Amino acid sequence: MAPVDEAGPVGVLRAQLGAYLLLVRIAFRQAAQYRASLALMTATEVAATMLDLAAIGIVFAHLPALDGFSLAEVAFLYGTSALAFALAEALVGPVDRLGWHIRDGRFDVVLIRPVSVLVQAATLSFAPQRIGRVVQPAVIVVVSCAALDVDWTAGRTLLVPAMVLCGTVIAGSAFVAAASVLFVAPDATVAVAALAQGSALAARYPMTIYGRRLGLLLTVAAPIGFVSWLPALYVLDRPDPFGLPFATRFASPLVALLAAAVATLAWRAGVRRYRSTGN
Amino acid sequence: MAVEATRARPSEVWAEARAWAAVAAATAKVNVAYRATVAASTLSNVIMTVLRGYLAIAVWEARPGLAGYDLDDAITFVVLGQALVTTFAVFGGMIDVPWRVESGAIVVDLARPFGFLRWWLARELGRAAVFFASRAVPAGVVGVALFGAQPPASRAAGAAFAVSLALALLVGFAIRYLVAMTVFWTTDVRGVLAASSLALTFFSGAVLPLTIFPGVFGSVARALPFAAVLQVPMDVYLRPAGGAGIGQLLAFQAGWAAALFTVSWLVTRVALRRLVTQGG
Repeated sequence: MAPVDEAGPVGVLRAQLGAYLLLVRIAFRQAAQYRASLALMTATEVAATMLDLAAIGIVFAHLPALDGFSLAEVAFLYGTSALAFALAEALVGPVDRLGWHIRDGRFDVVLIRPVSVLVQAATLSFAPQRIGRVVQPAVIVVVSCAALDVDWTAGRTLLVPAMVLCGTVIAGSAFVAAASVLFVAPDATVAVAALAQGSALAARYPMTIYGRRLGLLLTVAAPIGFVSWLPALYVLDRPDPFGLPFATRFASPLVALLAAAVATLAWRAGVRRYRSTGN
Repeated sequence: MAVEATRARPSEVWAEARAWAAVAAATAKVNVAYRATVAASTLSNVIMTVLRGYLAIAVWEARPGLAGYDLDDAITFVVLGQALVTTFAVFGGMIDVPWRVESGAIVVDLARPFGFLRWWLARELGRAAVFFASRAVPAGVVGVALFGAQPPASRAAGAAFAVSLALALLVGFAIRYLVAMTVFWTTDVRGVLAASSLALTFFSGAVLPLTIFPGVFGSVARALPFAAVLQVPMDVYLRPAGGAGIGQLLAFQAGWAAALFTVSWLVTRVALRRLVTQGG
């Protein structure tokens, strides 16, 4: 942890943000050295999201509705959750690569630098091409909002950017918490990545398809439902199929704060448990 | 590597088999050494299988017969297919050639008294064995317990399924091996790796059964080697009425395996010669 200087906690936060931006800039310049690879990777990221969408499109070409949700409604769920996950992944995602750095003994040097460990971990293998993932869900959110047949009150309109923001914090916290496991099991990189993918997959469809028990578990305990499902129920003006209190639709900011706190604790516990693999 | 086409003496065959077993066993050992990793990976495999199973139910309950599968077949396809995804490394990678070229450790691989392609294939067998036992079996068992996946369509289908899995492993390995070998020409493989992982994931049938795709796109998707990795083994297992015969399906896989291994062998020869001219 960087020493708290005279500027106080706000100064520290600003210094860390500055370090983060600097390291991101370095990652961009680094990636630009291998132009062909960067272009191919960015194209792949865009293509990957397109294929995700194609998968949903193909299913809907054969179905009028999925568990009572129309194409526009599922697209809204997909767009908002995918955007939140893509933003979180672009910001902190590469933390799952942390396992490689730990295993290869490259992590020791991270601990002696006067920059937050998390900031460094998030930028160690920062992937500029991941930004390509944000484009498609952002377009889907706009298109699905236009296609939705709802009364766009001020509350509904405001809730859309708010839910994406909270969703990003929740997803980012989940990534960081999952990455904390890597301090104990540095080889679990693939599993951590798969878990992130799994939660993104789970968030993209109506929770009702998972049945009442698993649906509730995913919604409340995971807490994937707060990324887009619960606030989306308000936007879509639908009753809650699980009968959760109406207030839960606006609880995402609270859950986001809670998730961030849990992630911080998990991360700190992980860093404390770190033992060098040596080299 | 000089290959003697003449009669191999039994002792030579025995020594060769022992070498393969030793490499595979050593790789298997590495793959079970990190127990927390195995546990985390198994858990994520099970979770993905459960999620995909529910999704399949939602879709096929609304539209039974989609892609030529009824509800039971679709659940079986999705659950068992998803359980096998990590065994066949459908997400790509798992062959360390690029990183070893990058770090220079490849020199050690070249000095081994064991062919380069054979070395990596033997390692793949060890890895796949561990992944099958520790990922595919638990995920499959949970899938069957939760969703009641179907047994093989017939006893012949069951036996053919085992053969089909072996062929799928060979095709999946060859595709990823060729991708990894591009490192000898491109120095930075991450782009190729990402693109191939995408193609392998989508066109193997891991996202959707390939039979769902209409028209020419569907025909092309089903003819590509990626289909031999997941779609074809599941077709053998289920063998939908009116589909291709089991022999035809296995021949499709064997054909791709032979073609890809021929190319892999040629690429290996050229690449290693190239590395020698670069080194020094």
